[in-house]
Amino acid sequence: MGVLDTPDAAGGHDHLQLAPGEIEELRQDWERHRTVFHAADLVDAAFVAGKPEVALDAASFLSHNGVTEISRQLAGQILMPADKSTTIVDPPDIQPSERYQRIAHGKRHLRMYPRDPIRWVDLARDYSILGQNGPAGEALRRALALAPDSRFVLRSAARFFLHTDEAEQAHDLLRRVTRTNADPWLLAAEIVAGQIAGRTSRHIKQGISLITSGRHHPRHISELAGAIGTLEHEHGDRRGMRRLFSIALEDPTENTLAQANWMARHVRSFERPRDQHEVPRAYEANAWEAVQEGRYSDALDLSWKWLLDEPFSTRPAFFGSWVAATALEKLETAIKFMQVIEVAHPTDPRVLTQLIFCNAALGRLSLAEELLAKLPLAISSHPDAGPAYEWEILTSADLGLIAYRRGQPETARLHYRNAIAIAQSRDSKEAAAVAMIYQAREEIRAGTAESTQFLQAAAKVLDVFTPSIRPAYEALLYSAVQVSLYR
Amino acid sequence: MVLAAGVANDDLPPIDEVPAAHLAGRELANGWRVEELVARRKGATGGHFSICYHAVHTSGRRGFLKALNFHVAASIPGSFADILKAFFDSYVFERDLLAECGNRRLSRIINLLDHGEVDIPEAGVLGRVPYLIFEPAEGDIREFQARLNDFDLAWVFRVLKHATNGIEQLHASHTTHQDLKMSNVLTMQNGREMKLGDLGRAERRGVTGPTSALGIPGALGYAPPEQLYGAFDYSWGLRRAADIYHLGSLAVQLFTGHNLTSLLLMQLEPQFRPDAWSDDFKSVMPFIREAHATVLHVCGEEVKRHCDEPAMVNELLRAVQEMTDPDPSLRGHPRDRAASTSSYAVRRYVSLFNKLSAQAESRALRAGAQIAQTG
Repeated sequence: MGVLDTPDAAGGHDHLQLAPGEIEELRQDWERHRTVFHAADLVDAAFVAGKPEVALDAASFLSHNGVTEISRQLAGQILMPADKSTTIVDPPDIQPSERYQRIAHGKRHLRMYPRDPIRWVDLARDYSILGQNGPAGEALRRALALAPDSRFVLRSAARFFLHTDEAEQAHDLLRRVTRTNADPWLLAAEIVAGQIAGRTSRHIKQGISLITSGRHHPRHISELAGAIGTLEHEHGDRRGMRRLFSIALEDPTENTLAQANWMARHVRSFERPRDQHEVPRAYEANAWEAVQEGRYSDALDLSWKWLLDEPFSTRPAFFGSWVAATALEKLETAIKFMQVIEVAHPTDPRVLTQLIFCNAALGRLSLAEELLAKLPLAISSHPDAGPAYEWEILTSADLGLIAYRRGQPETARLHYRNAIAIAQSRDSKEAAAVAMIYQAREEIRAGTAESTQFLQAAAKVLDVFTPSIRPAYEALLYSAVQVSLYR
Repeated sequence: MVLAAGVANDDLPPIDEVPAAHLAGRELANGWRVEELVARRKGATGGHFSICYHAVHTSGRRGFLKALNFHVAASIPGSFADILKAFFDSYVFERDLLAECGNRRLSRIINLLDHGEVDIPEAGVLGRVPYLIFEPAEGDIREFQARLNDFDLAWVFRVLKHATNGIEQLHASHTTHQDLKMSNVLTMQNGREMKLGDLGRAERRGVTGPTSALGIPGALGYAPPEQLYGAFDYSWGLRRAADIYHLGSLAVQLFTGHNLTSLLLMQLEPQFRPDAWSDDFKSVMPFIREAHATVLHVCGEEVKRHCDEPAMVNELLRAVQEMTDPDPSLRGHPRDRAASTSSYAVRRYVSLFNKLSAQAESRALRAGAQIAQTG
């Protein structure tokens, strides 16, 4: 949880008033008796009333003499009050073995406190990261039964259904909740889920009215404006899209920033948002920005944070693996990203193909070939894996790479030629360009007489990439040339 | 004039400004004589709503006198007349309620021995001070707990039994306490007996009292979640539910040193705390429930430190969980919740604390006997 679920601007807290003399009496009792019990009583009241200054000495006394750990913690909150707005911390790095321990602990906790919906969501998240979607779904159903109107629970459940490719279920869940119509956070999620499910939300008008009503703080309508802005882009209304994104970016969330960055990568005149570092947990947007600015190590670091923040999502792992393999040629790191998501997605052909590429590039050719042999089955068992021609391009390119590394340039060229020809026949300019760049790198690496021609051809196709990803391929080519110069 | 130890005449505010601070040594009606001031802090008496003294009756009976310091109203911003009226309304309300409790012989509520008004001619035209005289207590349970060398499990259960019994007696008299906290549980007979004091923020069913219209009738620092998040509907049911929450919170405080409300807020991220949350109570409930479960887990660890009998630990924790459920509609014993007329009955908890207290005493006795034998 973080700023996403912060409610609207505060108001209506007039009832939070101290009883007459409440603090003074506790303070005098503390001064008179000077015991941990009187100190604790004063610290409690000061903490609840938000008046830490009246209990500093009592808190200091407790921090030294408090008999329980919780006493010392509470005293710490008085002596060093936390920022009142939000508590944002980087996501914790949890290893799969710890994840099993967390599940066991969570289940024990829920046996004692079965009415705790947040713990059910946490449990679902842990199961989901380990690829155990059955128990994850069951845990979410328990959470939904306990808190059917909770924004946090509903958004978590919808996110889970989207990750398990059940967009229709995510959409059904959100549209059936009465509250969705009036809650900009839920409405944003409903529109996105509908979009992914190929449906149109019935609440677009209501969404626009929420955005323009002026009743909500910009932070609370940011995702809604971004979601409707994306729809406007799909419908070809660029003006509408720009207007909505300018509202969305007034006080954006990390999700809005990611959306806006996507827009900047796909719409030529759409500028990347500025000051996105100010937004907490905007790892995705910042990782993309780091690539565009050539800060690849930062991009890698941000990809890890992004992955830890969204451990059930495959996108951060593919992004991090791509940065590591392409711009930095850190192939072991690229493999590590895949190993993280392999736990939950062991038969995903995209994971497999990235592992084939990395292992081949590391010279582990037998392993790469073993994995390559498994690819057709993985593709056929994933009907949503994408069009067949894309896999043909990837498979041919992988065969080409293996052949280059086996010292068979002629065979390798045949495979790459095939890959590029398929890509060009499908008007897939980026795929063709990627194949040409990697082929050029292999030619340079092999020190062939034709390497300069391949390099020139590859340099010409760099323009097909958007400014966001071009620097990574430039870095790859540059690095290949550097290596050849010093050989 | 007799003053509290360390309180000199010079420390007292002028008699015409705070006549209630000048009662020491005076003879009252009905044979009472005011003794020394119960000073809290030098020079601080002027700012109090009441000023306390020891008192003694001609029969030798001792009492604890609380004098109403209505002159403090002059120092509070706002309409003097309105504030003064509120003062007197509170005084009259508490006086009548205590008298009613006395008539009903509520054994777990502090006994009002006498009340009246005393003239202070030196103070001028407003020189009359209303007062209440209570049976004397040794102090509150914080003071007693501080004097104990070790954690006394049997005594803790005894406190809970007596406090719950006090709330039960009040509820049976169509009264809710609304401000149960450590400082309002008073000890007598060397800490063996406990009674509830300070009914100044109580509510009587069907009677408009001084706190009837308040969203948080008791102390803010102890308020149950529904009051903190503005979901208190002023109903009789929710007033009783708050009393049960306070009892559960008292149990948490006796083991951890801190009341449940502060521990809950500590576990909540700042954006979900009452001063930041502006959505409805229902929406924040999952987060409070999460915090509640964490606090009870921590509390459970503390209980286990002091009690090695798992059955006793489990029974206590289950009771605390029921008594403090963040959702008031789910608060209280499940069997009582099923009956619409007695949803917030506490009888079962009185019995439970009675049983736990007896078990703890018997275990302590057995342990003592073993030490004596081996020694």
